[in-house]
Amino acid sequence: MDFNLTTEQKLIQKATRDFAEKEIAPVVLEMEKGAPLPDNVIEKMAKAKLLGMLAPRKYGGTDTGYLAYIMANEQFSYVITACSFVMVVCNSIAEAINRFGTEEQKEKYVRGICEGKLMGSLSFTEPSTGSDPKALATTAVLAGDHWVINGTKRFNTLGAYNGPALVFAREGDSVHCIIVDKNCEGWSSSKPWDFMGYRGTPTVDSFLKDVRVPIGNLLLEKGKGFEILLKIISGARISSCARSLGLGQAALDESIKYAKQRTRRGSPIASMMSIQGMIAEMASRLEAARWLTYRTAFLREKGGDVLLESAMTKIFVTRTAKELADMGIQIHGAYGFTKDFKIERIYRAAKEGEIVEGSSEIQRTIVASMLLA
Amino acid sequence: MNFDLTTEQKLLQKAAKDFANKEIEPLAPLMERGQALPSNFPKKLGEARFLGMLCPRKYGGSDIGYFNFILVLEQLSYPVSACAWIPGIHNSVAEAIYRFGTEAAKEKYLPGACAGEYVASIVFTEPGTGSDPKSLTTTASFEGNTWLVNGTKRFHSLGNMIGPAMIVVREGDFINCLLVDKDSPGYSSSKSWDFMGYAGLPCVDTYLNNVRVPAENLMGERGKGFDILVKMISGAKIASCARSLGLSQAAQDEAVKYAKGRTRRGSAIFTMMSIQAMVAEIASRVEAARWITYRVAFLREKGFDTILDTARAKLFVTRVAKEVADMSLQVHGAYGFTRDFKIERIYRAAREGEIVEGSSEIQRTIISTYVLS
Repeated sequence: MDFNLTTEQKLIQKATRDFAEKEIAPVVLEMEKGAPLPDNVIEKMAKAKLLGMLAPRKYGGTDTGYLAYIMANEQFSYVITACSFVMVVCNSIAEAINRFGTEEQKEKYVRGICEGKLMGSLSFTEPSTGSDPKALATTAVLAGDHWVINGTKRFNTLGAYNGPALVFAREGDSVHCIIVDKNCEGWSSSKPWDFMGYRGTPTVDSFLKDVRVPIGNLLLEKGKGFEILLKIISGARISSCARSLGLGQAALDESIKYAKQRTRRGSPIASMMSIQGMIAEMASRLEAARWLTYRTAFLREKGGDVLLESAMTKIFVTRTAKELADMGIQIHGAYGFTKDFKIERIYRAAKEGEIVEGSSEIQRTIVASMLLA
Repeated sequence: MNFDLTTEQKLLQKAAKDFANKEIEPLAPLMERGQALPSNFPKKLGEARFLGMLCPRKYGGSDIGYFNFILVLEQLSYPVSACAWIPGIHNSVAEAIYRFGTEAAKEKYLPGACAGEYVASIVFTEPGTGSDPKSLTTTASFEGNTWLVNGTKRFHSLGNMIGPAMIVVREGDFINCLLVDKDSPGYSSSKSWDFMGYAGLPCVDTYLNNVRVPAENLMGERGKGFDILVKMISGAKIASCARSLGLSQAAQDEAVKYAKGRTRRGSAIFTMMSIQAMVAEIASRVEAARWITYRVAFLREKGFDTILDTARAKLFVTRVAKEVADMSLQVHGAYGFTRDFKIERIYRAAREGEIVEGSSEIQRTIISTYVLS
């Protein structure tokens, strides 16, 4: 057993954090006010090698290893940015195609994602279902040597950007995962949803009207859609935890900074026991959240599919992020309720963790079914 | 002991509820997107008799009594909009003017206040202190027949709306409460602070530069301003509870509505135990919050010293509001994280209760002082 970070991991942490502070932090405030994701940000992320961390070098990836990737996500998320979702989705899709795809599919898509020329999307959710594959309404019908796909996907991150979407569609009782080049004929998207936090996230509804894709775009095999989804999702869950960790650290750092400089009768409020109590709670919970996340990421890197572990981790870590954001606001007093302070957007963002990429209710269902079987 | 509302009280609730539904609910989402509080809104409130609820008829008030005032505030708070801060603050200050002001001040301000021509406000907070009277730096000196006021106040809600502002000042080692005309020479306001919730709330920094205030605008006895402040604040705390209550009820109703409409495999999600559990928790906590609030409003109307009771109520009720907003958002799933749903603004707004009008830390200090003495 060894809890030490390797030199490589430390370098990745530092490089990612420096990049985020320098290139991403300056655009966050504008996005929080309503500006869209700037065009050049994705290019910068690609140049910084952040989009192909789980893909092999032969396709332009950096093959960093899953744990280091999670650490990078955590550092990137420190600036509380919608771009975290770009990072997660691109890496997840590149990993999935690399893992399940044919050589032809990998050649076609993985390099493009690593270079920031193609944006992946994970298109499962629909208006009527976020969690239940049996309720999928998007259909895929074989017509000669093409699939014809019809349906609507909701909360489809990067759905309006060119690149491969992994579309989950039903053919009768079978669920398939089919790669669709977005913005092909028949593919259109709504304007982005307006979220409470991580504003500017490029998440849209996508409408598939008689979208035709070659039969070779099927990922893996017919009927394997749900299995693929579960394996991708276990990674997405841990990425969600990494995002929560970055946010939690930011909440703690902001609170310490504020508590040290805000004074009451000449002494910093950091000298008051009620403030000290909150800081201590935040630090402890964050530490627990961090090591649980790293362990789960380590297991996944070794090759496990960590369905149980990732569910347990997500329940705990995403709730921790919300709690830390809450205590962080309280330490800031009324200033924490104003947009002048970073903690305000930390609080708005923190809530997504318990919902997105598998709500805490779903995680609880998974954990319980595995423990009570 | 009697927990029933009278017929008259039920009619009053209904009148307030109808007003809220017609005049505030449609406005709320627009203000959340940046629209300003309409300048004719105080007049509308005045016409509906919601601005003189604690003033006698001889000044144009409706004198409905403190408990009924809280009943009305709860209903006006249901749309979860900055608009409802006006009746909350204004009536509390008007009551203070009636209780502690000179006859001249009452004649000067109360009729206009009751009609909605004046908007009354109060400010204690400064950049350096929100809770500690010993740290006040705004000064007032008395010469001849006039006070001269200098200083900066912060987070002055309604501070840029014409009418009397109750300003807490220091004169040597003593504290005074002075009524300042907000259009006095030397009185100016910053632009409004931009808050996480209750968008559009006019809340400014106030700069007092040699502002002259007539002797008749002193409230109560010279040097005894702190007593007045404490008495007035206990009312403001109960108003804060009413605001949290209205918000909590809205959170509950939205959760119920969503859970009944959203389906999974053909059944409404309210058939699922995890959803049922959340809704049940919400409903129980709201009920507890309601009756602790009603009791403390009743005590205040009867004239009892309610410092301990209001502190306990505020501590509890404002935390409940945050908790039920959180559970209700969870019931909504990802939709709750979008601006398309009311719960999104409920969640952002709920957080202020534990901070504003006496933070929960202060309430804990007050309670423990009483309980441990």
